Amino acid sequence: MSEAMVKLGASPEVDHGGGWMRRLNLGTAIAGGVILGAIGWFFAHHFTDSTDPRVSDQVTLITLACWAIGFMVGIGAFNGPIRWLTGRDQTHADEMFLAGKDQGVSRYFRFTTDHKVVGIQYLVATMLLLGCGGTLAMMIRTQLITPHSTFLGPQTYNSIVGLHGIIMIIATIIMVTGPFGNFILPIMIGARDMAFPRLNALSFWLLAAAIPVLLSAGFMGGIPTGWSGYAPLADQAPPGMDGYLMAIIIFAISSAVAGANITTTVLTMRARGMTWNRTPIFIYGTVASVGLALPALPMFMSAQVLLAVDRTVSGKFYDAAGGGSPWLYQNLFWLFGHPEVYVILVPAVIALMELTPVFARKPLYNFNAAVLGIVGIVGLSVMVWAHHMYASGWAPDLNGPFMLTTEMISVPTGVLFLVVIGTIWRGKIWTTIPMMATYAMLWNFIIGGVTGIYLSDVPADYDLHGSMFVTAHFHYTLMGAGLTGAIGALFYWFPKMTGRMLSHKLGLVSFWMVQIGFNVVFLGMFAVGLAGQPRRVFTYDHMFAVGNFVSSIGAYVIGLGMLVLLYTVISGWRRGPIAPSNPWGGKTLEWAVPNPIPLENFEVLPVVISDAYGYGEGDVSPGHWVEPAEPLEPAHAGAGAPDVETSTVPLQEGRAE
Amino acid sequence: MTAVTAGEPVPHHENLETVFRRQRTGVVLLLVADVAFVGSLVFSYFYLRGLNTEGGWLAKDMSIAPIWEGWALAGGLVVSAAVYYWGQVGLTRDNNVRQLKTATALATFVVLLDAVGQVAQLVSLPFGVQDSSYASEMYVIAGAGLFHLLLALFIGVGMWNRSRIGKYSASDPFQVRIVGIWWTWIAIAAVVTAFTTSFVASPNHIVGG
Repeated sequence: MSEAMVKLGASPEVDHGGGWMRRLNLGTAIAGGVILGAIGWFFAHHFTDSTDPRVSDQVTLITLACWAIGFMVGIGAFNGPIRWLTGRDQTHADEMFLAGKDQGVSRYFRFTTDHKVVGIQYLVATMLLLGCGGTLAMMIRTQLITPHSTFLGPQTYNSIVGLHGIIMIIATIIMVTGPFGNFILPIMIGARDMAFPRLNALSFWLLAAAIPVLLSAGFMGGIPTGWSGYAPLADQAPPGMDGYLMAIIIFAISSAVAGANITTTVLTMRARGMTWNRTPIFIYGTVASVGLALPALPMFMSAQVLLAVDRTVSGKFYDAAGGGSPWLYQNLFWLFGHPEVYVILVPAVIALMELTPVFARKPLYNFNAAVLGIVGIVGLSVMVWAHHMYASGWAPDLNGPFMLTTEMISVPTGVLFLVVIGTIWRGKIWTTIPMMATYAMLWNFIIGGVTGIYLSDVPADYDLHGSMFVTAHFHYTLMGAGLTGAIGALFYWFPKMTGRMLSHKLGLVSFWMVQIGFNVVFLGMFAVGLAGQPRRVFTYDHMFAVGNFVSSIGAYVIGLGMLVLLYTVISGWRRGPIAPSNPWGGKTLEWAVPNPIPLENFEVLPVVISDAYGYGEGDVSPGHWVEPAEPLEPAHAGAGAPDVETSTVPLQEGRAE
Repeated sequence: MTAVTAGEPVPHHENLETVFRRQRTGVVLLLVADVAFVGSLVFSYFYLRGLNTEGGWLAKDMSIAPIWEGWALAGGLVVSAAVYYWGQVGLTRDNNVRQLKTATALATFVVLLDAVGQVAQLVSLPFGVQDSSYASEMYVIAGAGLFHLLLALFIGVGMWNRSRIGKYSASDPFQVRIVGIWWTWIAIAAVVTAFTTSFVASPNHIVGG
């Protein structure tokens, strides 16, 4: 932190003494969760009717709810509301403490409000979730490596498939908007923090409370329904289902809080001069994602609340014998579920769109078309949900309209493709890992997108629905495009987030292993899916043996590639070369702040006077390239070299002028 | 992006009007999520009522919840919101902190009565949650209403206490106005759910409802 910022941010009130509220951290949160959870379990156990067949669900839900409340009390989430209630508002010293000022590593384990800390917390949580989900994926593929493997039993296999699915969905929902939406976005728009720093911390710690709840499902009979949790199967599932639904309820609240916070930040805190035409495209992508999630996740939450009533007190929402309907669950689920695809995809693809001009040294091709593409996707994504229900028999008369809207969504998606390709076209390409991620995204997303058009077609869907073809399709979109985009974004923004560079060589090894392994897995899966192998079944006919064997080998290659990536990140974080403040020559505002970034980002708030994509417009000055310790030579040194000094006026220098 | 610095440091603490606009935007966006939640409950009510699966929306010879109860609870919240608004106007127009204090106390008291009424309704419904899909819907909608009321109670007590110790004035009425948005929304939500639960019998008689 710069001296000037310390002086600006400090006040005579700064005081790191007293107050038990300042001693709360992850340890007290876990203790609070365990204690309240145990109390909840005790009371639930003693005050519920032990002859009720639903008693185990009642006890489980009460215990998990108490865990979550205790955890949030223990981390200090309720301190602010209680102080507000009593009229003892937080002082500036309190706010500085909450922001993690001068607290070192311990601030990552507290209810810290600094958006940069929250961004790092989200990054670690995402990696943890991806690690858990990825390990389960390896187990799934090991079971499927031979037709009648006995590695997992049928129940265990079903549970692991469900758990893998929902863990990965949550991980991919947060993987861009969590780490980069929190860390990078406020700086990119020229703000000192998020609009609501305490809500920012709240959103993360709610997620942290939900993760153990979700993982506990694996130890309580699992989630035998697949990630979608379809009723009425979910009504009959073991208590693991209670872990699933409670985790969804907590995660939905977390997402709503985060969505409102990020959207408000963008709407009200952009730097002076940052008109909508000058707002970086990544901001649009992030707001589109969280804006979609804002109304979508509460519908998923309500589906789970109704499921909880069914499971604990024999409600009849999804029980056809009592006047309920499984179609209700399907509608509520997919009203969330299909927008959710774009909640995941849009920010990842747009993150790559943001970095492509940097490495192509060209302006973003047709900014307005990119914005219209995002708007088109957001608008249409809420009108396509029933294409997941063609085969369920719900409203056959609506199949045609839903087929039309689903196929229409390929138009704005195609526009985004054209923008990326147009930006690359005749660019002076600097082939870095982020840029390679853009290429990989184009390849994977084309396959995922085109196969999606097949599935949007009613007759084809009747044939392919429930087959491995569908599994391959959505992995091509969510992993092939989504996760690839997140990895590209990680390599791009890691130097700003940690002050260190990631190894290019290790990155290359990881990139090729993951991408080759990925295509081997899922092209193989398309083949067996087309041949008729159903999904979510733990054995299969010998006719699918070769395709499955190939897919499993590919999965192991992905697994190894991900381990290399994990090593790359950890080793880079610990002892990677020190990153210059703008290693890529980017022109967005996050590259204008120094490393390490001051507590409140900007000593003097910037004024934006042009768009973010003026690359290659006569301001090339290769002599001013800051040489990082890692070999990061552009492919076309000279014309392709970044132009950091002339394009972006570092703020402190600007002030000195 | 080309950026230059402003001529002088932007003040570290923004003016209250700016903060108010930001907080208002945030509250409205959070309400979008709540609207989606309440909307999905209303959707599920009308969906199951319209579907009347196996004629099971209402079990045979089943009593229904008195419709006036939902409207009475909604009426209470409307009155509460109106009283709160009266206090808000008193503060913003006349800097009448006493009026705000009285209004928040009254509005909170009405919310408390409403919450007691909501609990009374829940424990006296003439059916069990497991009796039919209509019964399940009634319990969940009442539960969601109670959740709104408990939140309003917390906020109301806080507003009364803070107005009592002089946290608000005509020059700083912003938090009062933001809470007014919340109060208005829960009144609207109560009216919407009362309206929803007024439609009991299923229009789908073909299946046997």
